[in-house]
Amino acid sequence: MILLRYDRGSLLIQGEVGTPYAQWDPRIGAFRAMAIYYSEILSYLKRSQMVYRDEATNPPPISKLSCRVELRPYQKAALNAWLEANKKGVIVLPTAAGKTYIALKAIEKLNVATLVVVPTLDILDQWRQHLSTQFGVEVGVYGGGEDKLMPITVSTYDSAYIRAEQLGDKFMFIIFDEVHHLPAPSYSQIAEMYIAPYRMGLTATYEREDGGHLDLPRLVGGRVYELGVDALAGKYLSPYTYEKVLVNLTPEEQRLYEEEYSVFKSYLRRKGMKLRSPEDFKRFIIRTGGDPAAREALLSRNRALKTVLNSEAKIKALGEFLKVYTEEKVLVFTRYNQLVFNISRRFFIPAITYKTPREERKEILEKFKAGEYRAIVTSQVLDEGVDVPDASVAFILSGTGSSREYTQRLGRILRKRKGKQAKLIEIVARETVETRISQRRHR
Amino acid sequence: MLPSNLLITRRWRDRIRPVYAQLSKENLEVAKLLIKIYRDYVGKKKGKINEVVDGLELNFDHRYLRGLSVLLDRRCQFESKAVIDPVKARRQVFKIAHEEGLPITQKARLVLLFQVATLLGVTVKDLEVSLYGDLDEELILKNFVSIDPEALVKQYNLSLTQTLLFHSTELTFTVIENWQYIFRQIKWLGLIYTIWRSNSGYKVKVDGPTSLFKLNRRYGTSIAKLLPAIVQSQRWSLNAKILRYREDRMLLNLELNNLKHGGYLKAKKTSSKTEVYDSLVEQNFANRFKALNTGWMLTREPEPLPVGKQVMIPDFSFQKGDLRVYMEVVGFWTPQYLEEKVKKLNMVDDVDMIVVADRHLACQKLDRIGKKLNVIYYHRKVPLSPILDYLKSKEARLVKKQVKRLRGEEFTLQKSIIEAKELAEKMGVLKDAMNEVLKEKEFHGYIRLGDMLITKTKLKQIGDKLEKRLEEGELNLVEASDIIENAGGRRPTSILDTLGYKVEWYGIDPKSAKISRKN
Repeated sequence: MILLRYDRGSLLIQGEVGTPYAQWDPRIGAFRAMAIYYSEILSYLKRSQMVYRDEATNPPPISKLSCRVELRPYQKAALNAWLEANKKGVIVLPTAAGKTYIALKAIEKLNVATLVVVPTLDILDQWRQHLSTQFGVEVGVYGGGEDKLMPITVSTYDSAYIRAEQLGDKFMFIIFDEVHHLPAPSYSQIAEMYIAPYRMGLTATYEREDGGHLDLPRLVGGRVYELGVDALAGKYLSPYTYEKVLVNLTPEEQRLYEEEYSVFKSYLRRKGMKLRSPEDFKRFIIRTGGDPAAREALLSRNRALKTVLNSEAKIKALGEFLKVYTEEKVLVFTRYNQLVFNISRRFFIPAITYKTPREERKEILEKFKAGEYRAIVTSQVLDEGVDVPDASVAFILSGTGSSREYTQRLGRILRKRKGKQAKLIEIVARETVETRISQRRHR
Repeated sequence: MLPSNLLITRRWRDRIRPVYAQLSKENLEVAKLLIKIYRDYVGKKKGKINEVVDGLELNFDHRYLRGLSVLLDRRCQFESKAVIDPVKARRQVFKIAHEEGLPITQKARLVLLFQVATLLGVTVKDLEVSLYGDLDEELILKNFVSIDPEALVKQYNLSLTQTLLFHSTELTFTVIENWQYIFRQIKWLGLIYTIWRSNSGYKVKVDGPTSLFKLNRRYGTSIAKLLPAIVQSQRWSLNAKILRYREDRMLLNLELNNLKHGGYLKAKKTSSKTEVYDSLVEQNFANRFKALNTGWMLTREPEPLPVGKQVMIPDFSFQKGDLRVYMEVVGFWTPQYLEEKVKKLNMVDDVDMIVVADRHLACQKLDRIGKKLNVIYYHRKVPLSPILDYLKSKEARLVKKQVKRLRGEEFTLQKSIIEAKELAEKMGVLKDAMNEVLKEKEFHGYIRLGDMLITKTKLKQIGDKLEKRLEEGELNLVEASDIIENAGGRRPTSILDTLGYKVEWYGIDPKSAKISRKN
């Protein structure tokens, strides 16, 4: 008799029978396999007509689920493609195209214990709300200090990773929202340590700059359906424009910037260093540990950047725009927390960063949706996934220059509303390192 | 543990080690300076402390300064300077600002602030302070628990090592104490161990369930948590595999031991000198047993016994010569726990194990194995007599066996005086066995005095000396003992007796005890 058991993120196959994907574990004297191969091992045993007992899965019992979601034609097509691909795979759709609804329908169809894995607490709250109103059930949560297991549970990537040992055998279906986060050395272990035979990935940006997406077919299944922004803009998404505004630093700022930046440049020149990639920069940072001159160069560079990013000129330009768009709902994005708080203090725009208490975050988002607030300033936390339905204007002050960031931020303002014309406006200081960062994303 | 960007390491081929802060004058000075900064900045903003630390123009690796500062932060209590609840203040300001229109000019901004301040009944300044008074860098240092610079540097080195261990895939270590605690930790942290015997004692390798499939750092944090218990041992050594995610994956070796690195690390005074007991029952037993002076050495949590693939650390061991008996106290248990335990105990071959179990915890399972293992039941107190009886019978059986063996053996005696104890050690037997044999055997040229053998020549030599001295006048016991011992003798009174002298006592002072010939 073969006994299949779940053991802290892996499967134990007891009974001295090796199966595909299993390895002999001399530490305990049994065969062991990655949990991700649960269904493959099961079908091997079935095909071989072996007598076995399967005690590997321990999902909480689930009642009959139903929701009133009506899918648009492309959403239906996406769901069908996924169902046909053995209920595995990634669906790539632009933000605001309603990926959540596809997932809800899939949950209704499978009616099994399900875990939704999301990158941030805001997105977590959003999923919880959708799931509980659509299915009328209490939703379990892992993350942000909560830990409650329910047949339908939402978790952050962090919690799903940390709790993999305890949660890996509790779900038959796992949904990875913003699945481009998954192929990292740590997070990919979520996919490997959970049993769930049914898997769905959702994203607007499938490719990763480090090539990590090549691992997605193994972890979740391949790309089963894809549509770009242009295929949906107009009909399902708002039409949009992009504008780049160059502003001049004030003379004092310009002087400070050049003074500091030249210290940095001359260090690089002296050492013959070129900073072309993030790796180059990492190497430079490592040098600053032991080399005081490198450290001085780094501090100068930081002061120069600080001058640029906190530039009064840019904040003034933002003020001018705020005067113009008084009727629109506005999002202001920036990379630096300090700038977020500066803007918040200056214009009294509510701020959301990873430091914002969770309750306050929720309140700000709700009031924004309700129209009590018409602007939010934020760092990276709102980049992805959070619904801000009526936002139509987005400003970017000091971004990182990655094209993923651009797509995600654009997605925040594209949710369709009648007559809406979305605008993405980037405010960049002229003739500085910032101009180059901005160019990077449009390569 | 430190943020990984503060980790300082040196690599040499496939080896890696943390760059420890030496306990040099310079390093201690810097530690002292930082401690002083924290002390001086009580009442000031956290952001200010960070600025000062960042701005220190010292010829030091900046990561060292930051690392110390991270450790010092943990000794601080910060509080917000906000006059009113910041969340409330913001809510109010945002609300009015959205009703009135966002203030674009500085003037409009001030007007609005004034309006809200009035509404909340505070000054404009208080409102500004409160608005983001809950941000980390705005917090005020309220209280700082100081630390001695040397302790800080040692704590830093320990944290540095733990930070490097975050990146480890597995750890192999040896210790000589703390076993039970360490194995309890291993279990609690969800790690898997493999144990084997080597020249330097038991070696334990720990990693996790999924380590089998691919190198990963999943268990690094748990491994790091084992470090303090390991370095607390008198002797320890460890080897960890460090996985680096750079352009290509690299597996590096971290090797540390108490001789070379212990001095940098041991920040905490070990409390292992005072034994910690799991239960009063155990402590009470140990105290009573030790008071008896049985000649058996009682050790709590002796080294581990490998049991199949697992390991077991009995609660006690009794040791006398080569004789070793283990004892396991079964107190509170669940059926599952007991089953596990019994299964484990059943696998212990060639090991003498006494199990004492609380009678009131219905030990059906233990009854069943009662024949193979020695189960002694107790209520409240572990009874001494059955344990002593068992130890005695063990000893008697061994003595018997050894006597039998010794009878057939040739003794080669070289020294002029030899005690049974020495001889027993030399022959690898218990003293009682040796005594037994000495009584039976004749040794050519030797005379037996109790449990000591002495050559006839030596005895005569001593006798002559005493005789000569006695002719000169009265001899007391102290002087007589000196004469005997100077001549290489031992146990003066039994030698005196054998040579036909008697000791006459006048009070308790041996100086006034007189030696004279027996009539």
